[in-house]
Amino acid sequence: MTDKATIVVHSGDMDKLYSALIISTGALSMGMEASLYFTFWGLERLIKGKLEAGSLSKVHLMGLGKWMVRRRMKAANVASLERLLQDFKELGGKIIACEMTMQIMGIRQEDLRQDLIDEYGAVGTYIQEARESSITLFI
Amino acid sequence: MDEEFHGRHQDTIGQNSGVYPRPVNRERIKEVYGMADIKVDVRGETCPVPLVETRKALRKASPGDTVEIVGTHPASKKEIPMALRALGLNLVDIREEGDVWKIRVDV
Repeated sequence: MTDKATIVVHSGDMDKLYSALIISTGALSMGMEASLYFTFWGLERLIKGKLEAGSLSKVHLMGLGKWMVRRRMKAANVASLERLLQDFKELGGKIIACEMTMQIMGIRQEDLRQDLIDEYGAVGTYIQEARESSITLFI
Repeated sequence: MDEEFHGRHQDTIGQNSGVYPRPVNRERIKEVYGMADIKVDVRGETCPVPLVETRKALRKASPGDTVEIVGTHPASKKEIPMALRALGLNLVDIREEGDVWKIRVDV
């Protein structure tokens, strides 16, 4: 087994995307490998210009909750999702986009942030990644 | 101050500090003269930035370099040494002054 973390990013909620990116960049920083498998609502966040568009998983309150949380995050100097994604890539993280989600949601490759995506795959790709990972999460 | 880190710090300082001739200790010289090849300033940054910036700097460092990380995020003071251990690197020193900690590591 490789010292690796594989995370399914199923949710497109802002807070959950933060969890996925913080855990995966943390794993890379501590010398592990890391893969993120973006599917369903998570994959929507990789559409150009949609990275920060997710709502809060709780107390979104039509955007008011998100606004408040973002304000507090800014005050606490929390890194942006974009910065975390760039760090993830710089440290050698791998991003896989779910092809089936693309079909279902009518997302074309050119709609996505192709600069970030290493591979387009299906369940077999996830299993191959996960079976050699000591950490695997579904977020 | 954390006992473990305090102990480490004391070890480095107290080592061979008698009248006996001592071998050239690269870490000791760098520590005394404050030389670091790469400096990472993550003061005011929060999780996971101190850890990530440390890793980025370590990847850019050449063997033999000393990397110094200065920060204020409390959890990172113990998590960066955890990462260094996991990476098999040699922690040279940890110091703390008020809210600011400083970690030095040999690559």
